[in-house]
Amino acid sequence: MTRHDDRFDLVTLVVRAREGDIDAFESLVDRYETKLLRFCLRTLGDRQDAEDVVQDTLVQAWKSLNALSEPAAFGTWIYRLASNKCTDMLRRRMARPSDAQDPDDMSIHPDGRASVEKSVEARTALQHFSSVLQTLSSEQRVAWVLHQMEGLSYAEVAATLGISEGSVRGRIHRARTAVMEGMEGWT
Amino acid sequence: MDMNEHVGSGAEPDQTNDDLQRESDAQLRGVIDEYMATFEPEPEDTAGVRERILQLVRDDLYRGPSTRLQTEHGHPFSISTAAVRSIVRRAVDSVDGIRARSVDVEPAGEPEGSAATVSLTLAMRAGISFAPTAEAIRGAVSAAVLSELGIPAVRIDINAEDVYVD
Repeated sequence: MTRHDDRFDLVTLVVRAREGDIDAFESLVDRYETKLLRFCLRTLGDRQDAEDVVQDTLVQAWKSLNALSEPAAFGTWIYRLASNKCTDMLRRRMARPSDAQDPDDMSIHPDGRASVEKSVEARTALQHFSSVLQTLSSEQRVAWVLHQMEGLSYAEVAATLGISEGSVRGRIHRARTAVMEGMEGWT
Repeated sequence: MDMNEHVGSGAEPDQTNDDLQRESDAQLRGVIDEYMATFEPEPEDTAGVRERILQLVRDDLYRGPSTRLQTEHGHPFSISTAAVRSIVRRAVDSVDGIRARSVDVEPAGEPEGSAATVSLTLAMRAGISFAPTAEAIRGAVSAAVLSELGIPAVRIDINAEDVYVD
Protein backbone atom coordinates (compact mmCIF):
# COMPACT_ATOMS: atom_id res chain seq x y z
CA MET A 1 0.00 0.00 0.00
CA THR A 2 1.45 3.36 -0.97
CA ARG A 3 0.73 6.86 0.25
CA HIS A 4 -2.69 8.18 -0.71
CA ASP A 5 -3.72 4.68 -1.72
CA ASP A 6 -7.34 4.90 -2.75
CA ARG A 7 -7.87 1.25 -3.61
CA PHE A 8 -9.55 0.75 -0.28
CA ASP A 9 -12.68 2.49 0.97
CA LEU A 10 -12.79 4.07 4.41
CA VAL A 11 -14.65 1.21 6.12
CA THR A 12 -12.17 -1.35 4.80
CA LEU A 13 -9.24 0.74 5.99
CA VAL A 14 -10.72 1.23 9.46
CA VAL A 15 -11.62 -2.46 9.92
CA ARG A 16 -8.17 -3.53 8.79
CA ALA A 17 -6.38 -0.95 10.93
CA ARG A 18 -8.45 -2.05 13.92
CA GLU A 19 -6.96 -5.52 13.50
CA GLY A 20 -3.39 -4.27 13.41
CA ASP A 21 -2.90 -3.60 9.69
CA ILE A 22 -0.33 -0.84 9.85
CA ASP A 23 -0.53 -0.17 6.10
CA ALA A 24 -4.24 0.52 6.42
CA PHE A 25 -3.62 2.84 9.35
CA GLU A 26 -0.90 4.62 7.41
CA SER A 27 -3.41 5.22 4.66
CA LEU A 28 -5.84 6.69 7.21
CA VAL A 29 -3.06 8.96 8.47
CA ASP A 30 -2.45 10.11 4.92
CA ARG A 31 -6.12 10.88 4.44
CA TYR A 32 -6.64 12.81 7.66
CA GLU A 33 -3.35 14.21 8.90
CA THR A 34 -3.31 17.40 6.82
CA LYS A 35 -6.99 18.13 7.51
CA LEU A 36 -6.49 17.63 11.24
CA LEU A 37 -3.33 19.72 11.30
CA ARG A 38 -5.07 22.57 9.51
CA PHE A 39 -8.01 22.44 11.95
CA CYS A 40 -5.69 22.34 14.98
CA LEU A 41 -3.50 25.15 13.66
CA ARG A 42 -6.52 27.38 13.17
CA THR A 43 -7.95 26.47 16.54
CA LEU A 44 -4.76 26.72 18.59
CA GLY A 45 -2.83 29.31 16.57
CA ASP A 46 0.43 27.56 17.42
CA ARG A 47 2.30 25.16 15.17
CA GLN A 48 4.01 23.07 17.87
CA ASP A 49 0.83 22.67 19.91
CA ALA A 50 -1.10 21.73 16.76
CA GLU A 51 1.45 19.10 15.79
CA ASP A 52 1.38 17.65 19.32
CA VAL A 53 -2.42 17.42 19.25
CA VAL A 54 -2.46 15.76 15.82
CA GLN A 55 0.14 13.24 16.94
CA ASP A 56 -1.74 12.47 20.17
CA THR A 57 -5.03 12.22 18.29
CA LEU A 58 -3.85 9.74 15.69
CA VAL A 59 -1.89 7.60 18.15
CA GLN A 60 -4.93 7.49 20.43
CA ALA A 61 -7.05 6.56 17.42
CA TRP A 62 -4.73 3.63 16.69
CA LYS A 63 -4.94 2.40 20.25
CA SER A 64 -8.68 2.82 20.65
CA LEU A 65 -10.07 1.92 17.23
CA ASN A 66 -11.95 -0.93 18.88
CA ALA A 67 -14.04 1.68 20.67
CA LEU A 68 -15.36 2.90 17.31
CA SER A 69 -18.49 0.81 16.79
CA GLU A 70 -19.28 2.18 13.34
CA PRO A 71 -16.21 2.28 11.05
CA ALA A 72 -17.97 4.61 8.60
CA ALA A 73 -18.04 7.26 11.35
CA PHE A 74 -14.25 7.40 11.54
CA GLY A 75 -14.10 10.95 10.15
CA THR A 76 -16.46 12.37 12.74
CA TRP A 77 -14.79 10.34 15.49
CA ILE A 78 -11.27 11.47 14.69
CA TYR A 79 -12.35 15.12 14.59
CA ARG A 80 -14.05 14.65 17.94
CA LEU A 81 -10.83 13.31 19.44
CA ALA A 82 -8.91 16.26 17.99
CA SER A 83 -11.54 18.77 19.10
CA ASN A 84 -11.47 17.45 22.65
CA LYS A 85 -7.69 17.66 22.74
CA CYS A 86 -7.75 21.20 21.36
CA THR A 87 -10.29 22.18 24.02
CA ASP A 88 -8.09 20.64 26.73
CA MET A 89 -5.02 22.42 25.36
CA LEU A 90 -6.81 25.80 25.35
CA ARG A 91 -8.07 25.22 28.89
CA ARG A 92 -4.58 24.35 30.09
CA ARG A 93 -3.22 27.53 28.55
CA MET A 94 -5.83 29.59 30.35
CA ALA A 95 -5.15 27.80 33.63
CA ARG A 96 -1.40 28.33 33.54
CA PRO A 97 -0.51 31.90 34.44
CA SER A 98 2.86 31.58 32.70
CA ASP A 99 1.09 30.71 29.48
CA ALA A 100 -1.54 33.42 29.68
CA GLN A 101 -0.79 36.30 27.43
CA ASP A 102 -0.43 39.77 28.86
CA PRO A 103 -3.62 41.65 28.08
CA ASP A 104 -1.55 44.65 27.02
CA ASP A 105 0.43 42.50 24.64
CA MET A 106 -2.78 41.09 23.26
CA SER A 107 -4.37 44.52 23.08
CA ILE A 108 -7.38 43.01 24.79
CA HIS A 109 -8.87 44.32 28.00
CA PRO A 110 -9.26 41.85 30.86
CA ASP A 111 -13.01 41.91 30.39
CA GLY A 112 -12.45 40.20 27.07
CA ARG A 113 -13.45 43.10 24.85
CA ALA A 114 -10.94 44.36 22.37
CA SER A 115 -9.72 47.90 22.63
CA VAL A 116 -9.12 49.50 19.29
CA GLU A 117 -7.10 52.26 20.93
CA LYS A 118 -4.67 49.78 22.45
CA SER A 119 -4.61 47.72 19.29
CA VAL A 120 -3.39 50.60 17.19
CA GLU A 121 0.07 49.35 18.07
CA ALA A 122 -0.62 46.05 16.44
CA ARG A 123 0.85 45.84 12.98
CA THR A 124 -2.02 44.24 11.17
CA ALA A 125 -5.68 43.39 11.42
CA LEU A 126 -4.62 39.75 11.28
CA GLN A 127 -2.68 40.05 14.51
CA HIS A 128 -5.61 41.78 16.14
CA PHE A 129 -7.97 39.10 14.85
CA SER A 130 -5.72 36.41 16.35
CA SER A 131 -5.79 38.14 19.70
CA VAL A 132 -9.58 38.49 19.55
CA LEU A 133 -9.87 34.73 18.95
CA GLN A 134 -7.95 34.17 22.16
CA THR A 135 -10.70 35.91 24.10
CA LEU A 136 -13.20 33.20 23.11
CA SER A 137 -13.79 30.32 25.48
CA SER A 138 -12.16 27.08 24.35
CA GLU A 139 -15.57 25.58 23.53
CA GLN A 140 -16.66 28.63 21.50
CA ARG A 141 -13.40 28.72 19.63
CA VAL A 142 -13.49 25.04 18.62
CA ALA A 143 -17.12 25.27 17.49
CA TRP A 144 -16.52 28.52 15.61
CA VAL A 145 -13.44 27.20 13.77
CA LEU A 146 -15.26 24.00 12.79
CA HIS A 147 -18.18 26.00 11.43
CA GLN A 148 -16.61 29.16 10.04
CA MET A 149 -13.28 27.85 8.81
CA GLU A 150 -13.75 24.12 8.24
CA GLY A 151 -17.15 24.66 6.68
CA LEU A 152 -19.19 22.26 8.81
CA SER A 153 -22.91 22.83 9.23
CA TYR A 154 -24.39 23.25 12.71
CA ALA A 155 -25.58 19.63 12.62
CA GLU A 156 -22.14 18.42 11.60
CA VAL A 157 -20.46 20.41 14.36
CA ALA A 158 -22.97 18.95 16.83
CA ALA A 159 -22.21 15.40 15.67
CA THR A 160 -18.48 16.05 15.82
CA LEU A 161 -18.54 17.49 19.32
CA GLY A 162 -21.23 15.14 20.62
CA ILE A 163 -23.47 17.97 21.81
CA SER A 164 -26.89 19.25 20.79
CA GLU A 165 -27.35 21.44 17.74
CA GLY A 166 -28.86 24.08 20.01
CA SER A 167 -25.68 24.21 22.06
CA VAL A 168 -23.64 24.55 18.89
CA ARG A 169 -25.79 27.44 17.69
CA GLY A 170 -25.38 29.15 21.05
CA ARG A 171 -21.62 28.77 21.10
CA ILE A 172 -21.20 29.97 17.53
CA HIS A 173 -23.56 32.91 18.07
CA ARG A 174 -21.60 34.04 21.14
CA ALA A 175 -18.31 33.55 19.33
CA ARG A 176 -19.49 35.49 16.31
CA THR A 177 -20.76 38.34 18.48
CA ALA A 178 -17.44 38.50 20.38
CA VAL A 179 -15.43 38.46 17.16
CA MET A 180 -17.59 41.19 15.63
CA GLU A 181 -17.23 43.35 18.71
CA GLY A 182 -13.53 42.65 18.96
CA MET A 183 -12.96 43.58 15.35
CA GLU A 184 -15.04 46.74 15.47
CA GLY A 185 -13.08 49.51 13.80
CA TRP A 186 -10.78 47.04 12.05
CA THR A 187 -12.98 45.99 9.14
CA MET B 1 -20.84 11.10 8.49
CA ASP B 2 -17.44 11.36 6.85
CA MET B 3 -15.51 14.55 7.34
CA ASN B 4 -14.08 13.96 3.87
CA GLU B 5 -17.52 14.57 2.54
CA HIS B 6 -18.71 17.45 4.60
CA VAL B 7 -15.59 19.54 5.04
CA GLY B 8 -16.03 22.46 2.75
CA SER B 9 -19.71 21.79 2.26
CA GLY B 10 -20.48 25.29 3.52
CA ALA B 11 -22.08 26.60 6.65
CA GLU B 12 -25.75 25.84 7.03
CA PRO B 13 -27.88 29.02 7.12
CA ASP B 14 -29.24 29.74 10.56
CA GLN B 15 -32.54 31.52 10.35
CA THR B 16 -32.23 33.30 13.68
CA ASN B 17 -28.69 34.52 13.11
CA ASP B 18 -28.96 35.00 9.39
CA ASP B 19 -28.49 38.75 9.31
CA LEU B 20 -25.68 38.78 11.84
CA GLN B 21 -23.94 35.95 10.05
CA ARG B 22 -24.16 37.64 6.65
CA GLU B 23 -22.97 40.92 8.09
CA SER B 24 -20.06 39.38 10.01
CA ASP B 25 -19.02 37.13 7.14
CA ALA B 26 -18.93 40.06 4.74
CA GLN B 27 -17.05 42.32 7.11
CA LEU B 28 -14.57 39.73 8.31
CA ARG B 29 -14.12 37.69 5.15
CA GLY B 30 -10.81 39.28 4.28
CA VAL B 31 -9.17 38.82 7.65
CA ILE B 32 -10.63 35.33 8.13
CA ASP B 33 -9.28 34.30 4.73
CA GLU B 34 -5.90 35.75 5.65
CA TYR B 35 -5.94 33.89 8.98
CA MET B 36 -6.90 30.61 7.29
CA ALA B 37 -4.14 31.02 4.71
CA THR B 38 -1.61 31.69 7.48
CA PHE B 39 -2.49 28.39 9.10
CA GLU B 40 -2.42 26.23 6.00
CA PRO B 41 -0.02 23.31 6.60
CA GLU B 42 2.83 22.81 4.17
CA PRO B 43 3.79 19.27 3.12
CA GLU B 44 7.00 19.52 5.15
CA ASP B 45 4.91 20.31 8.24
CA THR B 46 3.07 17.00 8.03
CA ALA B 47 6.04 14.80 7.09
CA GLY B 48 7.69 14.94 10.51
CA VAL B 49 4.43 14.42 12.39
CA ARG B 50 3.56 11.48 10.15
CA GLU B 51 6.85 9.74 10.85
CA ARG B 52 6.55 10.24 14.61
CA ILE B 53 3.01 8.87 14.59
CA LEU B 54 3.93 5.80 12.56
CA GLN B 55 6.97 5.06 14.73
CA LEU B 56 4.80 5.12 17.86
CA VAL B 57 2.26 2.88 16.14
CA ARG B 58 4.93 0.40 15.04
CA ASP B 59 6.30 0.28 18.60
CA ASP B 60 2.79 -0.44 19.86
CA LEU B 61 2.24 -3.11 17.22
CA TYR B 62 5.33 -5.01 18.38
CA ARG B 63 3.70 -5.32 21.79
CA GLY B 64 0.51 -6.75 20.28
CA PRO B 65 -0.98 -10.22 20.86
CA SER B 66 0.42 -13.46 19.45
CA THR B 67 -1.22 -16.58 18.04
CA ARG B 68 0.13 -19.94 19.30
CA LEU B 69 0.44 -22.68 16.68
CA GLN B 70 2.34 -25.96 16.27
CA THR B 71 4.51 -27.41 13.56
CA GLU B 72 3.55 -30.73 12.00
CA HIS B 73 6.10 -32.31 14.37
CA GLY B 74 4.28 -30.92 17.39
CA HIS B 75 6.68 -28.09 18.17
CA PRO B 76 4.79 -25.03 19.45
CA PHE B 77 5.56 -21.56 18.15
CA SER B 78 4.05 -18.09 18.45
CA ILE B 79 3.55 -15.56 15.72
CA SER B 80 2.20 -12.05 15.92
CA THR B 81 -1.57 -12.10 15.40
CA ALA B 82 -1.23 -9.03 13.16
CA ALA B 83 1.26 -10.94 10.99
CA VAL B 84 -1.07 -13.95 10.73
CA ARG B 85 -3.92 -11.70 9.69
CA SER B 86 -1.67 -10.00 7.17
CA ILE B 87 -0.90 -13.35 5.50
CA VAL B 88 -4.60 -14.06 5.13
CA ARG B 89 -5.42 -10.51 3.95
CA ARG B 90 -2.81 -10.67 1.22
CA ALA B 91 -4.24 -13.97 -0.02
CA VAL B 92 -7.78 -12.58 -0.05
CA ASP B 93 -6.71 -9.35 -1.78
CA SER B 94 -5.01 -11.41 -4.51
CA VAL B 95 -8.42 -12.58 -5.73
CA ASP B 96 -9.76 -10.28 -8.42
CA GLY B 97 -12.51 -7.96 -7.21
CA ILE B 98 -12.11 -8.86 -3.53
CA ARG B 99 -10.90 -6.69 -0.63
CA ALA B 100 -10.37 -8.28 2.76
CA ARG B 101 -11.79 -6.49 5.77
CA SER B 102 -11.86 -8.35 9.08
CA VAL B 103 -9.74 -11.48 9.53
CA ASP B 104 -9.71 -13.87 12.47
CA VAL B 105 -7.42 -16.89 12.66
CA GLU B 106 -7.92 -19.30 15.57
CA PRO B 107 -5.79 -22.31 16.50
CA ALA B 108 -7.56 -25.61 15.78
CA GLY B 109 -6.76 -29.31 15.37
CA GLU B 110 -5.49 -31.90 17.79
CA PRO B 111 -3.17 -30.97 19.36
CA GLU B 112 -4.48 -27.43 19.30
CA GLY B 113 -2.52 -25.19 16.97
CA SER B 114 -1.72 -27.92 14.48
CA ALA B 115 -4.38 -26.43 12.23
CA ALA B 116 -6.31 -23.18 11.98
CA THR B 117 -9.82 -21.97 11.41
CA VAL B 118 -10.23 -18.73 9.49
CA SER B 119 -13.15 -16.32 9.56
CA LEU B 120 -13.14 -13.30 7.32
CA THR B 121 -15.34 -10.52 6.06
CA LEU B 122 -14.82 -8.83 2.75
CA ALA B 123 -16.10 -6.35 0.22
CA MET B 124 -16.60 -7.51 -3.35
CA ARG B 125 -16.83 -5.63 -6.59
CA ALA B 126 -20.31 -5.30 -8.06
CA GLY B 127 -20.98 -7.97 -10.66
CA ILE B 128 -18.71 -10.61 -9.12
CA SER B 129 -20.29 -14.05 -8.83
CA PHE B 130 -19.97 -15.03 -5.18
CA ALA B 131 -19.95 -18.86 -5.24
CA PRO B 132 -16.96 -19.41 -7.58
CA THR B 133 -15.16 -16.44 -6.06
CA ALA B 134 -15.60 -17.88 -2.56
CA GLU B 135 -13.90 -21.06 -3.72
CA ALA B 136 -11.06 -19.03 -5.21
CA ILE B 137 -10.69 -17.21 -1.88
CA ARG B 138 -10.66 -20.49 0.06
CA GLY B 139 -8.01 -21.85 -2.28
CA ALA B 140 -5.83 -18.76 -1.95
CA VAL B 141 -6.16 -18.59 1.84
CA SER B 142 -5.60 -22.30 2.29
CA ALA B 143 -2.43 -22.18 0.17
CA ALA B 144 -1.09 -19.11 1.97
CA VAL B 145 -1.70 -20.51 5.45
CA LEU B 146 -0.09 -23.81 4.54
CA SER B 147 2.95 -22.31 2.84
CA GLU B 148 3.59 -19.46 5.29
CA LEU B 149 2.47 -21.01 8.60
CA GLY B 150 2.96 -24.67 7.78
CA ILE B 151 -0.47 -25.76 8.97
CA PRO B 152 -3.75 -26.52 7.18
CA ALA B 153 -6.73 -24.21 7.33
CA VAL B 154 -9.42 -26.73 8.22
CA ARG B 155 -12.28 -24.27 8.03
CA ILE B 156 -12.63 -20.94 6.20
CA ASP B 157 -15.82 -18.95 6.83
CA ILE B 158 -16.45 -16.08 4.44
CA ASN B 159 -18.92 -13.25 4.92
CA ALA B 160 -19.31 -10.81 2.05
CA GLU B 161 -20.56 -7.74 3.91
CA ASP B 162 -20.32 -5.06 1.24
CA VAL B 163 -20.30 -4.49 -2.49
CA TYR B 164 -18.27 -1.74 -4.08
CA VAL B 165 -18.20 -0.11 -7.49
CA ASP B 166 -14.88 0.84 -9.05
